[in-house]
Amino acid sequence: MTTATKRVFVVPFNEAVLGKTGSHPVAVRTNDPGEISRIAASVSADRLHCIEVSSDSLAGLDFKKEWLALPLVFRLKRAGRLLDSIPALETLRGAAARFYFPATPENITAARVLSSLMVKTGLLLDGEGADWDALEDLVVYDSCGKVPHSSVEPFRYVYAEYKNRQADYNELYLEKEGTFYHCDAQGNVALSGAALAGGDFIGTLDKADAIDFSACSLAAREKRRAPLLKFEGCAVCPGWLACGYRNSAKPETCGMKPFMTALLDAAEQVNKNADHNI
Amino acid sequence: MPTIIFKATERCNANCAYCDVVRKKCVPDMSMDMLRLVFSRADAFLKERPAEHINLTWHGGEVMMLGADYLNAAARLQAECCPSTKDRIFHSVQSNLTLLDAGLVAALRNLGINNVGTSYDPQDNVRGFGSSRDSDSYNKRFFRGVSLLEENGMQWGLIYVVTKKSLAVPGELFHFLTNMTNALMINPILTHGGDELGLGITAAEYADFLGEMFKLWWPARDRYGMVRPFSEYYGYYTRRETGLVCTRGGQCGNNHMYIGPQGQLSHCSCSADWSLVDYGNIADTTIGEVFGRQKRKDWAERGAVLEAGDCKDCRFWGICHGGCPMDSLAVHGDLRHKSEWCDGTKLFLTKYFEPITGLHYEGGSGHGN
Repeated sequence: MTTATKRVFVVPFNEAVLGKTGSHPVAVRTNDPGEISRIAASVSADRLHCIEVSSDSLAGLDFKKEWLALPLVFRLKRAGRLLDSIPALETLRGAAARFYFPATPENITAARVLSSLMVKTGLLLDGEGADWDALEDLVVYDSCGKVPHSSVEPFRYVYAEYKNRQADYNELYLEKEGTFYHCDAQGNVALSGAALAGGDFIGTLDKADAIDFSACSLAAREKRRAPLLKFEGCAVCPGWLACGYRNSAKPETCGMKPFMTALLDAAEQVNKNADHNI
Repeated sequence: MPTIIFKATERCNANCAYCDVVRKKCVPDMSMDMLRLVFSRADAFLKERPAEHINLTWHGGEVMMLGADYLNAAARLQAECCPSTKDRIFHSVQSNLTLLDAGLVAALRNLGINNVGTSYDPQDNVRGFGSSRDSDSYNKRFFRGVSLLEENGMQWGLIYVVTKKSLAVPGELFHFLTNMTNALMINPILTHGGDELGLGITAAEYADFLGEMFKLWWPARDRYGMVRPFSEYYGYYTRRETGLVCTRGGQCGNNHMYIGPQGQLSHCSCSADWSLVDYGNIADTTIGEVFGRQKRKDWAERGAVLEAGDCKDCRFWGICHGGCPMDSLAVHGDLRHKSEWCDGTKLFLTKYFEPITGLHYEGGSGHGN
């Protein structure tokens, strides 16, 4: 008996491509917020993992009330002028949507403000340009702050999964290899967004039966553990349980160790507080 | 529940530095006729004891050397030979995972095994293949095995053996091992079978090594999970949990036996590997007879002897029970002495565990053979 790993196809909004994904969950990507309602109408709710919308800024976004219950993930370059978002605040607060930004100093500040306004946010910890000190401050705010605020990803994920050696918060970004399969408008399938962009395909949706997804999942597990083949660097880092070598190509100089360790400390504190109803 | 340490093979594909089995003369694997007899004996034992269960722990050598067909045959023989008792026989396994494949995973599941015990050492050339102890290819195959288990929804736990090479890097080893797993057991190397490579450590060295790891585990134990012996001591100190490992539990005299590839009977894996205890052969002895043997009386008396002797007035008796009886047997030729590792237990608890945790144990709640 094999316990098959959940498989999610990450696809552009294209009816033909969607039609080839069978009954598997799909994450539909679009650069056009105007397509959101049509995507929601095209994919049954039980199959829709999320709609990921890439756009410029939160301030420039015209968030519609009919999107409130949709599993929306916005990947934004920046928050923009927060004052411009105030008119939409009530709608944003009630939405299931989460707004992700690169972890630059400005965006980290914006995430903190939005969180305090009860808007769900997230930061992209891709290791490039991330301000780890500011992130550490935000973790302290998120985990210790007494004032009600909304969750920030991937902190919330780590709080919930930090004991799980198989967890990988990159699944929030649709980038957990072996679980998310990225497809283009021609139906080509790749193991990651980067592989798709680089034309490194493992097959096509037309011939999905020929793709050994089980082998892909197994290979992805091995890849995540590859640093453990050496008794040095990431393998002996106390931050591994949060980070798992998923963010840096240069582990020795990644600078993430204090942040990831602080994130683990926060996870423990949050769970202790929950146990004691604090 | 009786635990039968079951070695159907002593062959191994690895050449780990601290293994006693690789030094032994290789014997043929257990035949199907012998395997059938083992299950027949188990059936008879359980029929006479309707409330009892048996835990059959597959050890090696490397169990996976037997192949999937052999393990599937064992499952069939269990069904054939134990029609009314088969549901009271539980299997567990210790494997190095380097030979694991889909067929073997299915065979393990066929035996009802969902959790595999394994061992690992990240330092070069401690565990490995061939005369050079090639740890690079060993490690790759090990992690593939781990991934295969997880891909199939199976659990695994890890034993780490502390050697002379470990002593300089307790912190790095702690993080490495807890990064791998949240089910970890840290044991000292046992050298009664020989120490040609000079990997042996003293009880004090073991205690200090554990102490350095404990400093890391204690303040953040929630994230690191179960690390034995730390969790074990913590459970005992705070809740008098009696789930002590066999070397400290003081109960092995009542519930352990060993069956080797040729049906030879002994007390446990160590007693067989070090040729310390001979209970005869399963071909002419029942399981009930093994547990009732005259030689077992020594185990029954061991607790009282130690409490009046080596362990008199030791407040850690309830936690340690004089340690592994095999250590006494190997060093003194009898069971009437405490293990040399007891001093390490006492040192760790008084120098590290109690001062760091603020917990104190005054004794009591002890049992023992």
